[in-house]
Amino acid sequence: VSDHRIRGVEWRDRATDEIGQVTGMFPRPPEMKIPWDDIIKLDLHVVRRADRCLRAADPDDEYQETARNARRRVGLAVLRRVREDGVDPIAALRSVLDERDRLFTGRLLAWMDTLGPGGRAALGAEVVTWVASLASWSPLARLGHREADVLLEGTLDWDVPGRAVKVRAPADVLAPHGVRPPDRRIMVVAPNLHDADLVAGHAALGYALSRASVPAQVAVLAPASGAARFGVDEELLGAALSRVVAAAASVVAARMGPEAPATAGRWCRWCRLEAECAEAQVWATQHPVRFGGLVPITVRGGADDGG
Amino acid sequence: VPSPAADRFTVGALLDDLLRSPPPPADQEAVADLTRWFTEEAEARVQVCPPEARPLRLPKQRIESLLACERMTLAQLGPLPLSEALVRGRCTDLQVAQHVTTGSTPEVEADLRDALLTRGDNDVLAWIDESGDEARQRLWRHAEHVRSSLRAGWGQVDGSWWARPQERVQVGLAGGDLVLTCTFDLAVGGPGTDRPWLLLEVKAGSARDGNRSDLLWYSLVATLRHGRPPDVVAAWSAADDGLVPVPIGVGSLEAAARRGLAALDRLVELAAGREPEVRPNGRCRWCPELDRCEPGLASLDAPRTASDATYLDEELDLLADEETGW
Repeated sequence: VSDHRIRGVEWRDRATDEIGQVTGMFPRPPEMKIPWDDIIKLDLHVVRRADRCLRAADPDDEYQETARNARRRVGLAVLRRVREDGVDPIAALRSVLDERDRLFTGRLLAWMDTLGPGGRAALGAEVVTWVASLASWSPLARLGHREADVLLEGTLDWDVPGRAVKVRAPADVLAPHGVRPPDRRIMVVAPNLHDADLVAGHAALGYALSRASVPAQVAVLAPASGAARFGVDEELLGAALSRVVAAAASVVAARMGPEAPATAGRWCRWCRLEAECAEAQVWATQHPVRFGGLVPITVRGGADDGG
Repeated sequence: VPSPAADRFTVGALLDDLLRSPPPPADQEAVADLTRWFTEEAEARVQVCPPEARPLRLPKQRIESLLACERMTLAQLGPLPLSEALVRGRCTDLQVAQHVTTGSTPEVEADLRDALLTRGDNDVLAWIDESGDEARQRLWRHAEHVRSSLRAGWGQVDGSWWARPQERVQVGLAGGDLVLTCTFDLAVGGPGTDRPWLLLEVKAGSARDGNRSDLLWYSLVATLRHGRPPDVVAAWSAADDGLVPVPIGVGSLEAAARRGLAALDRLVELAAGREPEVRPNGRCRWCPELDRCEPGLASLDAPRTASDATYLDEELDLLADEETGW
């Protein structure tokens, strides 16, 4: 058995143990079907949020299918077509939209079926810009389409044994496809490079857990900003697992109590608990809202200084 | 006497020209020197900015605003409430996106409503539904005109250009303490393609010469992101199907860099707490602080300039760069 596989199994065992310890209140008995909403999903969003503040919560907004939310899932199908058929992104988009019944399912397909010409264009605009940035990214562009595997689902999932807990990591492309282990690379698209190490670590851990194999490298592409590469070592995976365990504890605390400790910061402004969080209130009084560094004469709400 | 027949300068003609006669590449060494110099100068300025004010952000409209009037800049921070001009701008961007991706249809209003709904732009839809009949009619009339302009001046854009609506660029300098952002209404060619690289700024109104400064800033930020400058940046105005193309060379990049640094000087000082200076200018009449600004009020008595009349164009784009990219 290759070293990367041995290490992959070791990471699975370690994750099973460490995540299992903090999620004991969420068992998954064998053969029992758990409703989707009851499963703790430790995805990149949850991990990133917990990394900032263990008490943080999302806004109350209900998930809505939009062009931007659907961009990545549709974009991966378009990207695969661009690479397989050697066509431009717009031609690939049109054929993917034509074949949507075969390529997509469930809520996404139902939503796409409701779109008229203007809606398809709005979705298409998001998709082609996203796809073009990824397709032209030199680490991918120089690989033939058989040398890289575009993951249509865009994620690597692993269910924690005995727990109603799922670790979900982003992964857009695996490369090269089907060649020797030392070349295993994950390509991930992220909105920016501010926390590229976190993204890379979570993707690497997700791969290690779902495939029981440690990858060699993660490349993170932020289309607007550039790219960063990370070799996968024990430090990267260890930090990623620590964040996942913290995120699991944060989710458990939010559902079952006691209240997790808060770390106040700019992110408080997007947290639905802000009004009732003492730490957030103190922070807000000490940090005036700034817009790109400037304090306005009159605050009219919102912010452009990022989260 | 009718004017002699002449080919109008259009987006379609520009793309054909670029394909037929690609501009020679810029001097890469000179470009690298310039971006290095700009980066060093910008980072030196940010060093003196207090940590609590970081990161600083310098989108194009803030450069223009800072250089016009500092007090107006501080008064206008934050998202603008929707207005007819902003909604018109959003719709124009969507029409351009539709034109180059799936193609427009005669059902302009239905397509725009569908696009806004698909994007989750419920605030814009609400604004449209709550506006009066006259405003709605103006909006759809403008949209019909945009569609005509696109068909006449653009024609079908070949897919090989890899047209990319609302392509965003974000460059972090000084370890992320200074963030430069741009959203190109449309990028075609360039990285990933074997075609010349054109960045297009879409204006819902009419073209004006002041757009050049914005275009040059785009070219600088694009160069910082991709390591090479775009071949041409251009502003296309839907109201008159006008096109202002600007070829990019080292000289134009340097002009943009010097203007950006001048604005950054002011940004850093204001972020550190200096009182804003007041400079009456043609945009005073739209400043939220006008009622409390004597020099601004006094300036209203001055005759209006041509650039005042097209201020709506700038308002149209304010949200686009700063917020969501649209």
